[in-house]
Amino acid sequence: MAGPLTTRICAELGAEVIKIESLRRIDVMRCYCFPDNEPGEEWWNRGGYFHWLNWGKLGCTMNLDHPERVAIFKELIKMSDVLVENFSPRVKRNWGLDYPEIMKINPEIIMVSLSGFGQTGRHQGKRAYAPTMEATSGFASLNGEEGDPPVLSSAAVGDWAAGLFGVAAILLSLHYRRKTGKGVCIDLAGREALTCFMGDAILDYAVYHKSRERLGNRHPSMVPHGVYACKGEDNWIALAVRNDEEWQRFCHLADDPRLAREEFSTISGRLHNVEEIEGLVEEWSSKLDALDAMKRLQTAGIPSGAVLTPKEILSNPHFRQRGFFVKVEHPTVTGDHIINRSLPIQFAKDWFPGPAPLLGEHNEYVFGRLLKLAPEKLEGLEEEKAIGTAPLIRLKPQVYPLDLMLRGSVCEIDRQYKGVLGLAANKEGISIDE
Amino acid sequence: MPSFDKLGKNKEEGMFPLSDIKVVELSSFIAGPYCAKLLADWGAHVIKVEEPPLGDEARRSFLLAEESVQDKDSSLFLYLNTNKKSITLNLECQRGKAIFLKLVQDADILLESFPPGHMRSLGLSYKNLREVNPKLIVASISNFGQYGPYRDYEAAEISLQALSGMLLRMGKARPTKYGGYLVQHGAGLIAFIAILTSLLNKGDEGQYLDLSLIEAGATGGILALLPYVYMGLMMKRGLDRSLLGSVGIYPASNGYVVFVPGYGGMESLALLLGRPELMEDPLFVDPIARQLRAEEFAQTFILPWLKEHRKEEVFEQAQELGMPFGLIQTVPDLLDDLQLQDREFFLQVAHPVVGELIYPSTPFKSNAFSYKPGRAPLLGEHNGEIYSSLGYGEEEVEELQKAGVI
Repeated sequence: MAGPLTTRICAELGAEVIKIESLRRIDVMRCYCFPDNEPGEEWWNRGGYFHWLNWGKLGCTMNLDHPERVAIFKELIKMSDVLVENFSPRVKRNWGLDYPEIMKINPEIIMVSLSGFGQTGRHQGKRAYAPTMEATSGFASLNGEEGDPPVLSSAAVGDWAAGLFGVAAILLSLHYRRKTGKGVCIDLAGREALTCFMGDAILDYAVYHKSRERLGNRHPSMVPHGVYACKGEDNWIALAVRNDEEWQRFCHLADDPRLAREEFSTISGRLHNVEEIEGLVEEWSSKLDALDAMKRLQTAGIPSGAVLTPKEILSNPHFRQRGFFVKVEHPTVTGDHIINRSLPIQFAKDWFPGPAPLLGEHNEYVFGRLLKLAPEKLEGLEEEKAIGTAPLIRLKPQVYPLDLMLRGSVCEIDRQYKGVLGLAANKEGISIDE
Repeated sequence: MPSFDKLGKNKEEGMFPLSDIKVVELSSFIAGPYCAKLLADWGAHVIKVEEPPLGDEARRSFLLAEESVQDKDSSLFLYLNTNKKSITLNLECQRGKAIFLKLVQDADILLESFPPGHMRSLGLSYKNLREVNPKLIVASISNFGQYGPYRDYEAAEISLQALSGMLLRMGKARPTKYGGYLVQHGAGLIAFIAILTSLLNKGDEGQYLDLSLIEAGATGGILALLPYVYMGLMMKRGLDRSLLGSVGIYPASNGYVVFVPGYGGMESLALLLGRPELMEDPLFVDPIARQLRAEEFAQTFILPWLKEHRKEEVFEQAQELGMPFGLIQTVPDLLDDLQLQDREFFLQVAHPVVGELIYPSTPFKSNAFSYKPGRAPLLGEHNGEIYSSLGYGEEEVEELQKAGVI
């Protein structure tokens, strides 16, 4: 997911991104998350994760399994600024797609090679998905409750960090190329990305000989600091009382004499009584709705946030005003759907990329118009099934067994979700008062 | 840094891609400084303007209040401020503002992370700054952005994770935060990307970038949102990640391994366990069964076998079979990690007060340009150098210091 996330952001920045898929191995993201859980006939064009990850890109297909087809791919490289790839080292060697070869075709190319562990070193060629990256980066060791084993995220943060670094690498390379006229090869190791978000933990250990333990929601120098239950089911408020002044304001807000104990007025006193204080905080919070608790805490100047559900995020007035979600139209396949900006900044007012490509949707544009291959040539490739618009192998679309899941209480379904989505992209016109 | 002989011979030692860029940084704590660090580490000249007498609050941000080590900066500050020059300057007074405008006149980028409205109240809004330097790129990083209903809200890492949707599915009974400062670092990196984009498009007109921590966090938490967008589905907390199926952290004989069979990986997993016949077992093969009976799955197939094997062995064998398994590494493990050593990932730099610093460099390397090792500055360390370059003699600087301007 890291590579596609990088190129998704490039599309958001206005780049023309051509995504190449093999008909023998279509992007596995096409197999998941269908509108109303219905794959439909051309299911490979309706996968929700794919739509999210690939908006704004052009899609063509090519099986890179034959020297002639690899040669066509190299023609495309010749006319490109950037190549983002995650081939294994073996594939690169076999097909002459490593950097020295690519550089001969296009000396100014910026080639970004993504891998789990890097193109060099004893673990080169080993694979990593997001959970692998979270674990091997050291990041997972920071997550979870005190005394419990580490936990993995539910949000593929390893891919997120790696994808962002990929964009940074491309932009730095473009800057370098502008100065020097030379191309660049980038070697990005996914498992190193999150480690760069933990520099302080590493320095703490190396310099101050301090180990980071897992603390759950607690903080070693802030009390109360955590996630507390609010009124109703699965309703929570996160808050952090950063210093003694904020503690006084919290006491005033909660208006509970038990909180006003002299001993609690300093951080060291609070650190000695964490459980009791958290119990009292939760007594206060469980009488309130989470968003209400947040408003009251914010009025008292205390950092706090309701733990938002997907529905709440999509209908949140702040995200809406900031134009964080937009509506993308895809009339032929999935209808309209709501997408977030991966890069929450707009360089062109109110512009955003179009929908994700159908499989092979832009074969004509890429091979016919860009590469100027003769029509007979294209027909030949289609007959050989080297290019096309339907997958060759029998992949199955993954459908959620919703009835089973509902009975097992592992999920909830909001039947009114389309109404909520209708609100999400309704950005109110705002201009920045500079 | 390695010179990547395998990749090509055109690397110029000491060629930093941003060496022609000048940055003035007016930010503290994490997101702004991390963005400025990335600029500095890739070669930009970054002047960090800190308010006297104490400067960036992160200098004193030790995890335990009692731990504040006199005269030593915290690890957070040391990591997030490498390669920058530090000057002290008081922007609340007229003369301080005048000096600041001189500084900005010459800069390509100004990065600030004050609460929204603060710069304007100082008479240093984007409009004001443009008069002094029409080409200036101003990047403002704030908790919730320069406009919106939550504009003036306070934030901490845990509350940002809550509002960005990252928290809802982490943990079991109670939502549990991600460790470290995930959102704030992500925001710094996103700001870096936004600034690099502006630099590429730099013309005669400057640009104003309104960046927020909350939106950065929300881009990280999106996966949990998608099933809702397509079918109103919200998964409950405490379950496996359904997309990949049966990902789990399990104990081997000498530490934890993360099991990631990957797409179509159950056959490989059966081979790893030495039991190809498992492909006939519905609990093993069916992804939903594995999710709903996760503990039974682990107990029946994984845990007893894993107890008998070392984690390194499991990792190597699984990877041989094409499964992206990984080891759970702690900070000490990372510092001993041989692959990271092969990649020269950690840098060692001397610091005059603290001693030897060891910190992560960058997850991407280039054959053509370099990453700059460096250390964080002491407070006001470069007052002499910078103020002299602005035309202030030693006596003037002393006078300004006495007057509380510097």
